[in-house]
Amino acid sequence: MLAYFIHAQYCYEYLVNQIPMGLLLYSHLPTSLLALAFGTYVLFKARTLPAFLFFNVCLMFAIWAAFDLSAWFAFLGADNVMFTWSLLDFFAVLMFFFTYYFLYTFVTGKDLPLWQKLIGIAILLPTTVIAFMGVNIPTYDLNSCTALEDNAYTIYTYIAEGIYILVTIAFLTIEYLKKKERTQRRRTLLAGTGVLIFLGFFFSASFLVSLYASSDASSYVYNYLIYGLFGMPVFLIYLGYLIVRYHAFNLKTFGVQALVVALIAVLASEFAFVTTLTSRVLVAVTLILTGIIGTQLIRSVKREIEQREHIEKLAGDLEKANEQQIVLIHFITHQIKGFVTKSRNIFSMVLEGDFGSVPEQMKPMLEEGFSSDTKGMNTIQEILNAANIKSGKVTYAMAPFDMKLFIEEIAKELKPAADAKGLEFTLDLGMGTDVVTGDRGQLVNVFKNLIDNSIKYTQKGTVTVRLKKETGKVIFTIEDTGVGITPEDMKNLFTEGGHGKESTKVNVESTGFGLYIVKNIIDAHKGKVWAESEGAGKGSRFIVELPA
Amino acid sequence: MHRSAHKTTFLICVGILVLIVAIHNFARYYVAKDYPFHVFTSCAPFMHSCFTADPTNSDPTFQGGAYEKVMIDAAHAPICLEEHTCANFSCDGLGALCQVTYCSPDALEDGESCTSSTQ
Repeated sequence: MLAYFIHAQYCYEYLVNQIPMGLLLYSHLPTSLLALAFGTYVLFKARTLPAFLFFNVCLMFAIWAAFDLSAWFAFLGADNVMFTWSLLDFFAVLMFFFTYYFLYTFVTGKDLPLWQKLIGIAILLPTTVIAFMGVNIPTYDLNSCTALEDNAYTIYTYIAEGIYILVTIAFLTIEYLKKKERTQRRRTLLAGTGVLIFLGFFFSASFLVSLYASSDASSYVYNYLIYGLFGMPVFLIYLGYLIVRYHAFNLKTFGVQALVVALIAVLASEFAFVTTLTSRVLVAVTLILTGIIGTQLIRSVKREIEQREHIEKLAGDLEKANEQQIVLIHFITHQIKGFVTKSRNIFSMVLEGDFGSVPEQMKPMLEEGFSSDTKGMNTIQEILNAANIKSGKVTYAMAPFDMKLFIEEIAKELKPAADAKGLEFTLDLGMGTDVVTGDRGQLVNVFKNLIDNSIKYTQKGTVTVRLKKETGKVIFTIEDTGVGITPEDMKNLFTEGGHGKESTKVNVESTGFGLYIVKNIIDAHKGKVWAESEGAGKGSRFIVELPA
Repeated sequence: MHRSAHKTTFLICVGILVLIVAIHNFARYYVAKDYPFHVFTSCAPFMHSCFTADPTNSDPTFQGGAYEKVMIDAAHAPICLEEHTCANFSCDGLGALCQVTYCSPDALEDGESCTSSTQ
């Protein structure tokens, strides 16, 4: 196959043992193909100015690499060598210009100012004229199969490239210092580092060759010239990371995709090196397997990402729906509370004789109405409280108070209800004072609810309230001989809307929010609340611990 | 002028510049072959003053024996020059730019010396 490309047999025989053909192919072809593929992908997906400029950089690099390879392979013919060699410096400087242009638009998000474009072109112009006139390579040396360079002209290329590198460093420093946000700074640093590594490798490789080509170190620098092209894959790695991590170019590519593509590219480039049939077959098999497994991996990861995004979207929708539900509950309960409150006030006013004396036969009905509206108001208030707690709208005004006096007041208020049911209501609050810090207004709801529940769910027997002080805490216990709590009901006790089966038989009007509210308030006070029971019909015990 | 028009115009101008240079150079090197060759060919020491090179400081591929230096434009160069198979090369009929340099004290470079000439 190679014989087809040999147009100068003398040059082929002269060069074949002198130049590392495999390394040349490996360093030029895969890197330029990778750059072109990457650039085309970005341009195709993004279609923005930075994407177009990045594609241009990759294109210039690929053209330069193709021309450089062609210049190395002098057996392709003298015309070919002269043509490609004459344009090498031109494309190199153009590539440096486009690299700076790309970096500017990528970092700032804006087009390069006109004055900078004009300066860029002004730097490029001498190289253009030199290439056009061909004065940089005045002669082709048929002896060594190379173009003889005129250093007076080629030196300008290094000056131009050096200027672009210095301008890039200055630009990056200014932009890095201007940016305040950490993500933006990191993005700038990553893009800039990738670009400088690429340009630095490229520049240093060709510059060193020009300095040491005629010295004893010429073979080392010529090899470095070849390795200088590996700055491009490094640059691509930086950009790949920017795309995956920061969605540069607004591309949503994930790590596995980039990794698999890179792996395939590296494996494919092995063909440039391997010469034996066995090695080629092995590389081909590895490449095919990697392609198949890689594709499956990409598909499964993509599916997972899509599912995760779907779940995140659903979670967002759910949160929105919850918020809307709370707003609706607030609206409805406020409206209803207003009606019920009005009705209760009317009953109260009539009962108190504001409209004259009430006939005796009417009193039970009016009292029943008043009581019903009062229960209604309490139920609505409970639902409102639960909604407020759930939405996090409750604020607590903490202040120290004596727990003993506090419980005594509540017990005094609720004792008549226990007496009316014939229950033995006992208070065992100990001696001395038990000071806790908390929101009295909210804690009233807690202990009223617990004592009221105990009385409601006990048909006969005793209801005992105890208060005990231990180191660092005050313990409130209410124990009854009521319906008890089954293990099944225990699980849902303090949850929103959690009803026990036995409790609903006794209290059909229960909202299921009472103990949910109790738990939330106690949690907000950094306390603990729990229930204990031997089972159905065996009474229960509710314990509250508050820090003292 | 709108900014995007500036941007497009600028990029188009750069593209045109690249095309001009590439096409011009293609025509020059491939079509017109408008560039000179520099090559060493075999030289008959009994006829001319030829160059010889110090074996420790030369490339034996093209400085192995006695040689003369030829400068010729690629368009007129015979194939034997590119293949290094020319014997008794002469510029006759190969254009005005063809020039053969025989060895003389002025033409010597590092590591070279002249054979004696019987001409």
